[in-house]
Amino acid sequence: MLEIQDVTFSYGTSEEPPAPPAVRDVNLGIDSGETIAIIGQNGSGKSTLVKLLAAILKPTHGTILVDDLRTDAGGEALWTIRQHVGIVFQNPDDQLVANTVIDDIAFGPENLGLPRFEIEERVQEAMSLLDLESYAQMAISELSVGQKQRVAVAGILAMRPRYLLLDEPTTMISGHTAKQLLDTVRRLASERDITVIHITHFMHEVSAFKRVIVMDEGRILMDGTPADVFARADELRSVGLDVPMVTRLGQRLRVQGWAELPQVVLSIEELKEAEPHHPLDSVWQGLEAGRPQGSSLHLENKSTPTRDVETTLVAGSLEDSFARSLFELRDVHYTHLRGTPFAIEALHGLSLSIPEGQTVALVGPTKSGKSTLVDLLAGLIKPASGTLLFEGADVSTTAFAIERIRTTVGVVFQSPESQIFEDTVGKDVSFGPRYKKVPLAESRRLVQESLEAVGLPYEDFRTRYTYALSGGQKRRVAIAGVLALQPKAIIFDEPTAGLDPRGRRELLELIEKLKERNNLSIVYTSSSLADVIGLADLIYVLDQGRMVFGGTPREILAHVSELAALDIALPEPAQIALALHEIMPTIRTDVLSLEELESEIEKAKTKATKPA
Amino acid sequence: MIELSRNVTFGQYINNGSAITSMDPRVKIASAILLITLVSFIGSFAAFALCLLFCINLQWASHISVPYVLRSFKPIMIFLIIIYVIEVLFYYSPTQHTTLIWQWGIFAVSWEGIIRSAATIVRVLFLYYFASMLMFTTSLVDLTDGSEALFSPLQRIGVPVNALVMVLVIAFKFVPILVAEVERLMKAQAARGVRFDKGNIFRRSIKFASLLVPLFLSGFRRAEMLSMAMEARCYGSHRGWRRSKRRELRLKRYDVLALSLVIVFCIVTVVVNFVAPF
Repeated sequence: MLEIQDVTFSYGTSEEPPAPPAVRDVNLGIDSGETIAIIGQNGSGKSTLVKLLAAILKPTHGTILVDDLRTDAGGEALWTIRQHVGIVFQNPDDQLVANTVIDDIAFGPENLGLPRFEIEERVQEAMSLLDLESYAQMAISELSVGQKQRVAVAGILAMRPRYLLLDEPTTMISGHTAKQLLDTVRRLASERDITVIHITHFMHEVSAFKRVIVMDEGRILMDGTPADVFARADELRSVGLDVPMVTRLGQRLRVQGWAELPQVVLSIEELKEAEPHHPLDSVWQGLEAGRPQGSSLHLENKSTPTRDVETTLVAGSLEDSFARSLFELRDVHYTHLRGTPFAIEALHGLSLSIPEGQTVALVGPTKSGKSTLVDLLAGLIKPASGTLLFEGADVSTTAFAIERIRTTVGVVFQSPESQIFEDTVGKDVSFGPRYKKVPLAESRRLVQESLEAVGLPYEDFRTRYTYALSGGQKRRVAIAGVLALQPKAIIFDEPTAGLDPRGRRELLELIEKLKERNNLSIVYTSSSLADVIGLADLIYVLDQGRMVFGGTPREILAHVSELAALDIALPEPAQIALALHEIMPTIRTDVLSLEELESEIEKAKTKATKPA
Repeated sequence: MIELSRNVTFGQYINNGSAITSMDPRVKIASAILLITLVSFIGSFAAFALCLLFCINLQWASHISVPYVLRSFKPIMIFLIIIYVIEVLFYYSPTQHTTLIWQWGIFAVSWEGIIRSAATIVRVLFLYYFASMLMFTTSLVDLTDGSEALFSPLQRIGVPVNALVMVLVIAFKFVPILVAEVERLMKAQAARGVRFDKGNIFRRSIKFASLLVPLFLSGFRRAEMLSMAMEARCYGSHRGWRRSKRRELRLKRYDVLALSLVIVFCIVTVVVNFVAPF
C-alpha cells in the first residue's frame, strides 16, 4: 500500500522569485494490485509525484509511506523501498546501463547481491515475459526504441517489484508497439499482483486502467474511474487535456439520439456493443449478405463517386506542381558510418518528389530513413549515389554550392533544446541573421516578425532566458529562429514528440498558419499519421530507406493492411470507422476527421433505414 | 559534410565473433598490460620489428578491417608529428649526441636525436594500437568484469575498485553518446548558417568552442538521469553493499595458451632487445 500524506515538494530554492512547488498538498492512498493512470499537462507535477514514490526525491513537507516504510527515513528502509518500487523512464537511453540486453536485465538483481542461479532464473523469466529471449545477446544500441523500452521494463521486473511506475514510457514509441507494451504490463499486474502506475499524455491509453488521477499545478484535480473522469470533458480541456476521440464521438452521437450508448463511451467495443440493440440490425445483416464477398476496403471506397472526383482533382493539381518541384530524389542511397564495421544503409534507392509550396509529410517507423532524409533535404549530407535535384539543379555537381540549400531550407529539429544556442530569446532568434551579416535594423525587424509569427510577443520575450522557457515555448523559439532566416521551405522533424494535448494542438495550429504563407513549402516527418492526416497535401510512407507508397491523405488511408504491417497507427477517426465497418458495411473508412466520421455514421444509419 | 561519428572510433567494440572477442577478459587485459609495459621498456629496432610481426598476427586473428584500424590512428598522427619535430629540434645534449647534422641557436638536429625520437613515436604507436585493440575486441561488460576480477586484490588495501571500474565503464559508454551529441549540435548550427569547414584554424576552433556549453549541459543532464536510473535500480554504496555477478569468468585452455604465448613473446623480445646490434 502506498500512502501519500499532505505532501508538498519544491525543486531548489535558489531561484528568484522561488518557483512554485511542483507537488502541493497531495493526499493519496493506493492499494496493492491497482492499475492507475496519471494524466496532466506538462509541468503538472505527475513525474515529480512518481519520483517521490520511488524515493528518488524526498518530500519537502509531509510523508510518503511505501508498505509502512517512510521514503525519507534513509538507511535500510530506502533500499527496501527501491527494491519494491520499480520505475521506467521516458527515454530508455537514459536508463539502460549495460551494453547487451541480458546484461542490462541482470543489472538490478546483481545490485541486490543475489546468488548467481537466482539472477539467471529472474533474468530468464523477465525476458520470457517481455518476449526478449531472441534478443538476449544483442547490443542495446542495435535495438529500436520500442525494444529498448521493453528491455527497460524487463530490467525492472527482474527485481520482482511490488509497484511498477511508468513515467511516460510511450512518448517515444508508437501505435501498436505502445499498445502491446501496456497490455503486457496490465496482464502482469493482474497475474503477479503488481500495482501499476502509468503516466501519460495520450488519452486513449487511459481507458483500460481501473483508476485515473488528473493532476494540475501540482494538485490532484480528479480521481476516479475513467468513466467518471471523462464525463468532465470541459474541465479536462481547461487544464490542457482532452477526452479520447471515441468518447467525443459517443457524446455527439448521443446528442443525435443514440440513446443506447452509455453516458461515457470508453472504447470502440462499447460503441459497437450499443449497436446490436438497434432495431435495424437485421436489415444491415441482410445488406451485408448481398454484397460481393472478398472485395477489399480499398475497392469499396473507390466505388464512392464523390471520392473519385476529389482524388483526380488533387492528383491533377499535384501533377502541375511536379514541374516546379523543390526537391527531386531519384534512386538515392546513403550509408551511415560508411567504411566502418557499423555501416548501416539508411536510404536504399529512395525516389520521391517534394513539390514547391505544398505541405509534404514523411511518415515511417523508426529506422525508416526519415532522419537521414531530413539531413539530406537540409543540405547537411549529400547522397552516396543517385540523384538529388534542388530546384532542378543537381546537388552532386561541383558547381552546386551546398549553401544554396542551407539558406533556402530551414530545419526545426526533433528536440528544440539542441537548436537553441544563446542565453536569451532575442539573441537566439537573431543568430541566423547575424551570421548572414544582415544589417542591425533589418535583423531586429526579422526577429520581431518571427517571434510574433510564432505567437510570442516581442517586447515580452526578447530578453527572457532560453533555459527558463517551457517545452512548448522552446519549440516556438526554435521555429522563430528558423523563420528569421527567411526560408522558402521549413522541415519539421517530429515536432510534436513529447508535447501534451494542448501543446500539440497549438503547435499544429501554428504550422497550419505557416502553411498559408505564400509559397512556403513544409516538410513534416512523423511516426504516426495522426498529426499529418489533416495537415498534409501529400504523404509519403517510408520503410527501410525506401518509399513504400505515397499520395493524398485519403489515398494513404486506403492502405490499411500495409500501414498495420509497418506499425503505423491509423488516426483515431479512421480506426473507429474501420472497427464500425463490421456492423455498418456502408461506412467509408478513409475519414480524415471526427466531423467526417460523424456524418458518415449518420449516412450509414439513414441508408440502412431506407430499405426497411 | 557533417559525419563526425564515422571518424571517432575510440572505445568501440566490434562484435565479429573472432577468437579474440571470445577470450577471457582477464587474459586480454593482462596481456594488454604486459604488451604495453614491454613496448615502453624496449628501445631496439629489432625488438620493434618483432612487435610489428606480433601486431600483424593479432590483426589477422581479430578479423577487423585494416583500413578501419588505421583510420583510428588519424586523429593522433598530427600530434605525434608535432611532438616528433619538437623533440628532434630541442632534444640535444653535447655529451650524448655526437653526430650533429645542423645547428642554429638553441635548435639542433643530430643523428641520435632523430633515431631516439623515432623510437619514442614508434613506442606510442604500439601503445595506442594495443590499447585500441583491447577496446575493439572487448565488450564493456567484459572490461568491467575482467578488470574488477583482476584488480580485486587492491580492494583489500582500501581501493574502491568496483566504483572506479563503474566510472570507467560509464565514461566509455558516454564517448559515442557525446560524439553523436556534437554531431547533432553541429548540424543544428550548420542549418542556421554556421560553416565549420570555412575559415582559418583559429576561427574554426572558436566555432567548435561554441558547441562546448550546450554539450556539457546535455552531458550533465544525461549523467544526472543515468545516476538517478541506476540508484532507482538499487545501485549505490551503503555499508555492507556488495554486487553479485550473473556471469562467471572461467579460464579455458585456449586462454591459458594465449597468455603463455604473450609471456613467451615478451621474454623473447626483451632478450632480442639486449643482444640485437640496432
